[in-house]
Amino acid sequence: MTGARLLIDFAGSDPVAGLLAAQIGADGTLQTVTASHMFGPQDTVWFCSQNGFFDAVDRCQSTGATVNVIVRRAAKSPARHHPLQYDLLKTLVAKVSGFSLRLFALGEAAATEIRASGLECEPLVYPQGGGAQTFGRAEFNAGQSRFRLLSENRDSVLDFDAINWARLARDYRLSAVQEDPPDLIDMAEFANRLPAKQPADRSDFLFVTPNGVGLGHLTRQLAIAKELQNASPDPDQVKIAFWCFSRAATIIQRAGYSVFLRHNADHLGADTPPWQQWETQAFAHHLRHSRPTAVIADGSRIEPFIVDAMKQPGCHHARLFWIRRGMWRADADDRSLADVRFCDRVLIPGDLASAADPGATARSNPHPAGLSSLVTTAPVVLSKPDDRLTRRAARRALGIGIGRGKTCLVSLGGEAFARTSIIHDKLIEAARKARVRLIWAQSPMAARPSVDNDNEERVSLYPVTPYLAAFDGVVAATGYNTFHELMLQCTCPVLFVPTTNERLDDQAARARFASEQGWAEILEHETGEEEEAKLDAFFQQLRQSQPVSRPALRRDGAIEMATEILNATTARGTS
Amino acid sequence: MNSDFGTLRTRIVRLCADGAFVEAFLALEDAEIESQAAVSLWEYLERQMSRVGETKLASTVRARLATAGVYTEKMAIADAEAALEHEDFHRASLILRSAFGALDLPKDAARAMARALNGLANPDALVHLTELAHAEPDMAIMEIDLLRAEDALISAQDKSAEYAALFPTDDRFLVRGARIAASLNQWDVALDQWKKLQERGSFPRSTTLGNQVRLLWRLERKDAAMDTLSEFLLAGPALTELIPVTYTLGLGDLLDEALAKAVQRNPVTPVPDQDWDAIAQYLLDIGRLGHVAWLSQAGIPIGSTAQLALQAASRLLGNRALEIGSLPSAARLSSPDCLLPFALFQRHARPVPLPPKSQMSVMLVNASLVSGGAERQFGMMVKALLLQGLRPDQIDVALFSLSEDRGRSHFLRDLEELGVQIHDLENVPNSFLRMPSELEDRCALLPKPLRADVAALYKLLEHKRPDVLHGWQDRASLACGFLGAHLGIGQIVLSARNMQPSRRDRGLQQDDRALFSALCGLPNVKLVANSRAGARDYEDWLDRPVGDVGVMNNGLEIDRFTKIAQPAHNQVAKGRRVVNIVGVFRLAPNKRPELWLETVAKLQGRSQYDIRPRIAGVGPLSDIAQERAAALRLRDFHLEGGLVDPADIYRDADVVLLMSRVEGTPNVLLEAQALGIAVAGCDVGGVKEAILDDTEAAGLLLSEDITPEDAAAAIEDWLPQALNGSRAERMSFIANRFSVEALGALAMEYYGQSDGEGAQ
Repeated sequence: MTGARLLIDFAGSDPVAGLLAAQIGADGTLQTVTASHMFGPQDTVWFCSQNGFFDAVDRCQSTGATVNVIVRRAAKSPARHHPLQYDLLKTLVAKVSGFSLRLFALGEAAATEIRASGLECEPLVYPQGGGAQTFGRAEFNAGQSRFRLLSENRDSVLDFDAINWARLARDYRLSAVQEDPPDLIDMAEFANRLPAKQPADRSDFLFVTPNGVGLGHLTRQLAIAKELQNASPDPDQVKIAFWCFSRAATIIQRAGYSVFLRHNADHLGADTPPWQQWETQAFAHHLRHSRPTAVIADGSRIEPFIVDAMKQPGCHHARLFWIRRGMWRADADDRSLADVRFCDRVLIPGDLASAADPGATARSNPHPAGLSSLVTTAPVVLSKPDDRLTRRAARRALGIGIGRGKTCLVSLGGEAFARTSIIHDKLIEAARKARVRLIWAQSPMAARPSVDNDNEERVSLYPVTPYLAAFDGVVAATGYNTFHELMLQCTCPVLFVPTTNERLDDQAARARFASEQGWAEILEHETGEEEEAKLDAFFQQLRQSQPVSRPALRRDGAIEMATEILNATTARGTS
Repeated sequence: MNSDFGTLRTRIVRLCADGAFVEAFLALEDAEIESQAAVSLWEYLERQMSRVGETKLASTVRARLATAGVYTEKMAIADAEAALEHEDFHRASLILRSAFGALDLPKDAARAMARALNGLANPDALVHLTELAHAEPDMAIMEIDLLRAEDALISAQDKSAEYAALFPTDDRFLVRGARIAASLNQWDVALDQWKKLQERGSFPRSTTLGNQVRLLWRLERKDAAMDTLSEFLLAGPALTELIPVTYTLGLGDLLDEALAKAVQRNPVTPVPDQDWDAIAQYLLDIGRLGHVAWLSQAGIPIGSTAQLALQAASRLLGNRALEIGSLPSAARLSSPDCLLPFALFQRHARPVPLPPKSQMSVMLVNASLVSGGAERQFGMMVKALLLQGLRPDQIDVALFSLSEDRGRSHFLRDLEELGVQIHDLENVPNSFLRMPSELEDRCALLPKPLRADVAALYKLLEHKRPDVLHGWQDRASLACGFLGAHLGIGQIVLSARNMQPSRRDRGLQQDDRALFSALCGLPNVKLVANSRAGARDYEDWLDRPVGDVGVMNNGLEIDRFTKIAQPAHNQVAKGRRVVNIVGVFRLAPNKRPELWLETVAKLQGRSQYDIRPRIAGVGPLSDIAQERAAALRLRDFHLEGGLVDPADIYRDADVVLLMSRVEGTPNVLLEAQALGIAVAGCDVGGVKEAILDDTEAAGLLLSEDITPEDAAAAIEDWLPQALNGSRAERMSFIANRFSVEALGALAMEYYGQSDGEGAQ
């Protein structure tokens, strides 16, 4: 025997389900009706429309459940077939048995019309509603099924089915006109009178970490998570968790955060549609019961399961943040930029090479902004200057001795060995000639080297930045994090070996920019240039031990992002 | 040898007993005994294999025996059955014919032959079923289905009743009976059959209820339909049952809800694949292309037909058009709207210039020749063209169906007498003519009725390439317009119905507005209605300027009526003048027979005259009309069905009364006035234009929503004038305005054979 359950039955994208949950689902017992649910006397089942009830009435019979049906007015004008629905409902009301049935309307006007058709119903309006502090106005455009969002500095559009309306109603007053279909008018009235949100007694942040090529997404998120905790007067009241698809989840655990380790369709060998549905349900369940104040996703798109889950009833509490770095390759598909419409904020980590950004994110977004506003911060790096070890301490920690010889770190990212085997021998040969000792940084995600050479010295470190003082030079890939940590926290010579295997990140543009600025050397080994000469020149420079001048930055992107997130999540709105 | 043979036989028997048929087969082969010598063993092996269902091996063994010249009738039947299992009907029929001939087959062979011929859709199968059907329900069902396939519906109905009595526990005969009755428009009969099935309890309740709902809705018994619909929902219908009901009743929100839920539930409680296939097919048939694309995106197995349609859509509209974000947005992608507007002369053939009248060819297309006013006018149109000087060889007439049993050939003989070439599009000779690929893609996306009509018409139209294509009523107009526009027919005339389709309650049926509108935008297409009111109504609906839709009045053969016109009879009974009030209409809901009866009942109650009512007509509400007349205690009431001669229909009428809710230009009022009879009718459609006004002989126009009391009062006030008004004046009014000659002249204008503009 299960306990009392509060169930909402709804179809696909009916906005009333989300609004209803915002009104009734305060006690955490809320569930959505699924195929496996058999109703029982302990259940209270809400149907968001008479049609939902029609579709399931046979399953309600003789269950003893409490069944509440929201009777909806016509969703189209003119309402040719709507009286038929009332007639059918009347007939059914007289026939059903074995459960308790109550009818509701979304507002006073709806209740009046429905009663006039001979059905007893009561308006479903929160008595003390209307407390939401609104940021703007959301005007219906029924013909195009979308909103026009208007505020002091915004004029955008948002499709009706883009987000959970309870999220929208938190910041916007829904505005219908008399010519709108009656159901839209009713939904506006209902949404505008949702109960005001109570201030949360704790902050709960959920990071969604994709399974990227390297550790870029995860590293940025860890940097921000750290600052979210630092920014809180009482770190114990900050709960941070990671919904993590990355194979480097242990790094997050070691940093002290909760991890929900997830598997994507590729990991499972599953087809995408059923996986998507499964992941959506799991994420929605988590959102409904954990009620994070913010969902913070880092990636080149907002994963559909996040969008779909946040549309579900009871999943409206969180604000959605999208950390989206720039420097997309010029030929990269830019359709995912449309995902901004689902977000409350799009947070752009600054890029020192942004002047050379060739990609879609550097141009004006052709897609409507929807709810979102865009904030660009300083570059986000995980390691702080205070974290840096002295040369002696670093070398001791790495176990590489404190000799006078020159040492160079080779850090070529998550797929380092696989990607660089072409230049592997050339690099070793050039170092040997220059009498430079190579230390290979092995990423926690790296595959085993294709050339298994016991003579190679490897260290597996995360993050590597605090140990940079141990080295006289660095050969590295040009991912966002490596690039910024080296450029902002290291003065030794750096040779960038950008990869073009990345689907989206234009590493080559970033490296070229650094080269043009005199911050680093570049070896574009895939272009067939004179690699030996370049390597020789780099190791000669390394041997000279001359510090290289690089940009200095006082701002901290991670702190700026944490501040943005905290400011946005502490604003009042509807629940 | 004998010892070896004995050993071999023992081994074969043992192997068969162990089910080791392959080993047994190989053992016989390895023994290298000639088939002739081992016939009994091979036969034994074949029997054992057939017994346990090793059909393939058994078939191989039979082939061996045949080679050896040993092939029994039993083997032939077994081979035929094996072929039937693989749906190789041709091979099965060949085997049986070779072994048994064509006639007087033994029972088992006849059964197999019937199945084979049935599979080949060959009506000869009936010959073999005659005896079997009375003993075996499966064969009886096959016989009924064959008769249905042959469109011999009345025979099929008789057989269904006969076999239902013979096999009383077999529900299938009642189901067939119900379906056949519905095909014959015997909706009440069909309803009774479904009710019987429901009462039996052995047939799925939701199926019987769903069918009842749809029939009740057609019969416009809304209360009963609602009641049954609620029972249907409580019975937990399958999605395949629910969707057609929602479509019929216009419950689109429920359709979407049920579909969305089924998709949500599918990973846990999957709908069977074949049901999804049927659902996708159904959605495609009703033009819900977006819904099909949405299902496909959701990973639903939509079946190959729907997949092919989506591929066609992708070629025509691009992949982006098929990216459906949510079910509500799926409604935005529907057919035929997604194929519109027509790309004028870009991809479609440019209309050919019209030749002079003497060389012009005309094709007229209509759905059928049922007994109705519009169909009568269709024949009149052909006569009118002949009167305009066109030769019969210049005119082709195409009908989508001429099914006799369905009453669709009522005017066929009249039309045949005119000498024009008549094409039954249901029975066009088989020949392969493929559409151009783009047109084929477009066709694949059309809603089913239009798709079927376009496909049926294409071959004839491509072959004949008439200079003028004239579609009659909405259905034929849309097919003619769609196809004519693609093929570059010089002039396309579309004779619309009497009022815009949206005024008729058609559930969720296809809204043809966009297609009509696109057609009206083409320079070689002219839409006409048969009354000014009808034309205005279409202009409003299509948002066309006033005068854009032409008017082509109905035509009447005036001579035919003047010849039989009678003077007023002035009959008196018991001191009161007898007034025969006649209603001539189909007994269907939109003619409002109950309002007619109630009005006449009120009139009998208050009139100074001896009112004697008569209705000439048939239809689904015949029984109800009789019952209602009895309940109203109507005096001297007669209901006469099956009259065709105007002399019989209008024989002693003083007044013809029409109370329809929907009308174009009602022929009955024209005919009555052509005979000099006074007429009264409700002000709907073109009724006002069809009634003589402003004279002593004027007819009576009643308001559309009039009550029986008010109608009776108005008629009573008008009757003295009606009875004394000039009959000649009425006849002259009709002769001047509604002659066949006038109709023909107007048609020629719309066909582009006159300098004048079309009449407005």
